[in-house]
Amino acid sequence: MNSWKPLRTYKIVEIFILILTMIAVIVLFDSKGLLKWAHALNVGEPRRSLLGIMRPVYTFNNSLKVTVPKDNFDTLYKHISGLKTDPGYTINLLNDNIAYEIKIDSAKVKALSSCNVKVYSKKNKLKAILIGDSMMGWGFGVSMENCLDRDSMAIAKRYSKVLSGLSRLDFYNWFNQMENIFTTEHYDVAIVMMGTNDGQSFEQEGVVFQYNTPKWRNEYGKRVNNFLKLLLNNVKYVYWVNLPPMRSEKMQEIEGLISSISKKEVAKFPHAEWVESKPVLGDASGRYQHTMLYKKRMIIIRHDDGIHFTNAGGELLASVVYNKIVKKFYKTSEKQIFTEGKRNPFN
Amino acid sequence: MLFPTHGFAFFFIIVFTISWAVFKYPNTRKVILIMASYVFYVLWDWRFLVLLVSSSLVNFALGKYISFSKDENNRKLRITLGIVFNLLYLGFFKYCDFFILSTSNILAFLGLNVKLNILNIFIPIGISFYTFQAISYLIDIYREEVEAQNVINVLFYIGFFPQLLSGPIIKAENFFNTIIHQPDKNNIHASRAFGLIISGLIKKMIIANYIGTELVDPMFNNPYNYSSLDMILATYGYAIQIYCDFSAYSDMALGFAALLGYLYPRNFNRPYSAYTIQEFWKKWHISLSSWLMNYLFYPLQFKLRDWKKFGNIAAIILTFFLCGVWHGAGYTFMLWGLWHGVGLAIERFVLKIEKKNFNVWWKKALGVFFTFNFVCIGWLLFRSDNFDILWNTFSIIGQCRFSLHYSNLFVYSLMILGFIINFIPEKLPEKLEEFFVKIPLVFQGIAFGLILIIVSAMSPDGVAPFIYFKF
Repeated sequence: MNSWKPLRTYKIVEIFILILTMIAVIVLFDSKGLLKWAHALNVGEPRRSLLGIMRPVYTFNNSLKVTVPKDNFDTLYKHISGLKTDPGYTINLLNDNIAYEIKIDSAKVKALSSCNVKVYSKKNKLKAILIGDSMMGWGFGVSMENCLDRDSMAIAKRYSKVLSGLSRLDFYNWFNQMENIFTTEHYDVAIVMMGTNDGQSFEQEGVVFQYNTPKWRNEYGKRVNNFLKLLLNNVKYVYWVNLPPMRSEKMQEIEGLISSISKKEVAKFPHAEWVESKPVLGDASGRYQHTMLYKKRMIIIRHDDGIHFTNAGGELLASVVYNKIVKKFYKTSEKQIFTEGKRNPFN
Repeated sequence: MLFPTHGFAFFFIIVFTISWAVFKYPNTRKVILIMASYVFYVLWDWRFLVLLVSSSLVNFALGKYISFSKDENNRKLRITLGIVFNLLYLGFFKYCDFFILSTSNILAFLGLNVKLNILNIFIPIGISFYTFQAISYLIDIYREEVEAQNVINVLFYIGFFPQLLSGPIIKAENFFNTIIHQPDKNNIHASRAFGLIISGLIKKMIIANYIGTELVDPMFNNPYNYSSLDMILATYGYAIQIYCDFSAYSDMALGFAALLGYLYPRNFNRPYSAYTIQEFWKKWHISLSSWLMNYLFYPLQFKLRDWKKFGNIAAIILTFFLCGVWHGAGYTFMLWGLWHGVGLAIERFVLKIEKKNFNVWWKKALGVFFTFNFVCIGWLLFRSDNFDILWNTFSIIGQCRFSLHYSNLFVYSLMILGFIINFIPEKLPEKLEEFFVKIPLVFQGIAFGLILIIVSAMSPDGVAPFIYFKF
């Protein structure tokens, strides 16, 4: 496409015909995609109105079976490409009912927690699962994964999903995802960092939970509690890592609220531990700092957005969690424990 | 708001409808497009908008200030003031903290205990792109290639949303003398525009996203789990990812601008089919290369003309070094710029390689092979945040372990496809368009709609941000 030499140019009316035809085709064959998009919008009147339009359209199209070609294409494509559908995105589009009540399996938990934890070796590696939103991505998540993978006695797998959390399970359902993972994979330890995207209202069975109301706090606490139950039914121990201090006031407020709720829930489980990030990444008063002195060098620990970690910041926090794992799960003679708050010795 | 989202589609349809409805009133139309651009931009962060508007207004004033003077020395002084303002503006937001950090560490290394506090500055998205456009506006006024414009035109030139975040960087002369006069409601290049938007969607949503999330990110994030062969493939994968990601944005920007009546020059022209590094830079991020040539390389070459060959070499290396600096505040970006600058200087002045040397197929193939691999080594520097990461990657490649840990054929096929599209004959898209425009209008709409559905079905959930947004 070297130049704008016109093969054919269009009048404005013709373009409107083109656009309207495209919209009609999309509404007819991909109403599911539109509904999914409307579903993921922020809770509020626009979302409600759009869902009010798109749900009947989708139901009608579904009854006419016009959504089938795209679904079949999707299945065929996944089959050919070998790519898997993420169960977290498998959500009920026709209502906001999200089942996530988890009953603790006492016998299973007892069996998991009572077995000797200091049994790991090069042959019997400690298996860790890292779970979280984008904070579990580049920075902390990658450093934690590297830290464990470079240790000959451990192995890690990371599941991080951008924009996810426990508020908007109608956008990404971590309960579905975790249940699916645990059917095929076995882990000893779970490391969780979640909540950055949770400072928002959500809807459950037609009821709107306005952010930071008592009703919201109560419901969010229940979700954290259930998520912990789900994890503890399948792993021996959970490390729930606190969100770091944030630069903007708004994000700092969210961090404070999410942390207070999550910390309270974590404290209810003997096999879950709250890992405080402020002493490592905050300044002397635990507030946000962008850089810090490390071995007489100034290092940048946070990303430009004032939320995410840099590699160095992630390594610092990962070393603290790693240290806790070593203390709890390794025979101390086999591993030298390094000072908390120092950078990962493997790098 | 990213281009490949439903939200942007709704936004664009509204802007498109309103802007053409007021077509008879060009200034009103421009004001509407400026407002739409600001809505588009403010959704990232309101502070970004304050800076964009301030920068545009200051550059409008500077443009008038330069144009008022007829005295050459005075004009020189004024253009210097304009350039210094823009460089300080860009430098403050983009490089200030990096400079403080580096100074502090050098002082600590020298044993001087001086505490320098970092300013913790946020970097407005797209700042490098719109600042370079602003500089182009001032220099073109100084060179009398364009007249100083009214405030609406300047705000429109600097802030027009299709190119605001990631270019292309349009030369002021082209914009004000040609592009701004193009909109004609009976003469819209819609088939080309939709073609560009769809090609952008395919490149971004399918090729770049899958290669990035399935192959490149896992391997570069955790290289210890992979072999040398994996890392080499990940490097090739990154080369394809960054090409498909960035050229996709440019294609879509061109497409959306064309639907609004503005025809921008293309920004990529099958760059990995280049036989030489020089040719690569004529095909990769063309608007930036042209900017650097026009406003940096040629003036430098002229200044250093007394040094003859060494002047040329110095001008090339310095231009590319600054090109690296433009991309980001980091030593690896500088090294990437130097890599290309030195490579180009060696190619032109030591090896004396030129395009005309590639007259038979095997020479062409060798040229493509060496140029592509040279560029890929450069991408390794470009992707590494620091020298530790760079060293780790090189050391793993150097271990010569050739087992393959990642074996999804689909992702490798996408890599091959991303490479092959660099060799599609230039005439082929035109032939396709020629066939397409003969189809009745409604069927064209149906075809576009179905292609969009297929792209959506093949895309992973969620949209990853474009790589070049951070510059």
